[in-house]
Amino acid sequence: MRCSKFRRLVVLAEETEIRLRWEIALREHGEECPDCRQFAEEMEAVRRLLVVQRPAAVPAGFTREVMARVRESRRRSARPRMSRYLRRPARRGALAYGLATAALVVVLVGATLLLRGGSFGELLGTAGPGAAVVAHSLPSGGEAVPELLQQLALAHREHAADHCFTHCCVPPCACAKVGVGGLCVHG
Amino acid sequence: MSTAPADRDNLADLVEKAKAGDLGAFEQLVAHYQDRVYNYVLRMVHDPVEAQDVAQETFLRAYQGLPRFRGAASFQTWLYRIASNLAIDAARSRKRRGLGLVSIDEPLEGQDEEEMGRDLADESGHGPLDEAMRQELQREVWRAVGELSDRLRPVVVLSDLQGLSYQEVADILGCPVGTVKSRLFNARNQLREKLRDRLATEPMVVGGTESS
Repeated sequence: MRCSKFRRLVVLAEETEIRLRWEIALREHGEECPDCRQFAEEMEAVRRLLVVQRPAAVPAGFTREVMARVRESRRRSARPRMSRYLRRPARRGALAYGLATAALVVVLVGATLLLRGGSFGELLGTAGPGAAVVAHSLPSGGEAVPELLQQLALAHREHAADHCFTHCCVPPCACAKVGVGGLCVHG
Repeated sequence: MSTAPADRDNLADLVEKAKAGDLGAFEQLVAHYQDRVYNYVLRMVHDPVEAQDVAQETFLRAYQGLPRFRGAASFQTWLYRIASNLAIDAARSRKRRGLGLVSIDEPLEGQDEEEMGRDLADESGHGPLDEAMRQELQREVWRAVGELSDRLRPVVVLSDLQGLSYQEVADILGCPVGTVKSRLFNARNQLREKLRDRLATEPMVVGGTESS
């Protein structure tokens, strides 16, 4: 038996099913190879050192503290989901910020329309290539579609042709920037 | 660490009751497994204070995960798996923070070393000198185990210190039995290299008796 194989068998020494095979190998190879015999004795000594390590005592009150944490966890999970969501100041702040931004956009668009005194279509026409407003999918029946929607459809096709055909040619638009009235805004 | 058949049935019953929401049953499970879980985590993170926190977190995660526990593995295996993941994360965090090993043989708060030595000597039935040598040797073994990699340390702790079978260790660590044996061989070999000087010069004090 080679030394490498013998040394690999050392870790299996405690398995009862190969105990006999191990004893034969130890006897035969160990008699021939003093280095391997010493290796086996040292490995066995290490194993004995490990198994006699005394277990440490669990700190007093361990179970009581675990159950206190479990009960606290149950109390927290029993609270209503919405209030738990909004309990964090950061989330309350984010929600307030989002609502305020949406309100501001509505006010600005409305104010612009009032000041300019024009239609929404004209507003689309003044938007440069850097801020084109495109519409989501529109109904195909032209006569029944209000003039505004027709203008939007035209703006959409023009925009799609030279800016964003990847997103806009296949309604609904795949972009995530949704602006006023459900129209997406490509910046 | 083996469990008698009657105890296994009792534990299985407790697990089912705990899954149904019986806190008293879960408390009994905590009391039954706390020694094993705490000692395993302690050997992995090498800090009694952090080990207590990680061990408590283990049971908390186990409680929260009870609805998902289907019994494919034993409750003990499942518990060790949770403890293993948390302990390895904690040990890595300690290394990143540059924190060293803390000896578990250091006196606990409120106990001085002399008192601890007297207690241990009385318990073992041997003189204080033999006991001091044994403690020193155990401290060296403790340090050597702590220096093993995160891949090897769980195997030697679960197998040699906790007394689990190869199959149980394989189930806990999610690897084949052959891998467990291979890692155990490598771990013991590394410990042999680290402790070679002590193995050569000091008589082995095993269970209070010298071995040849």
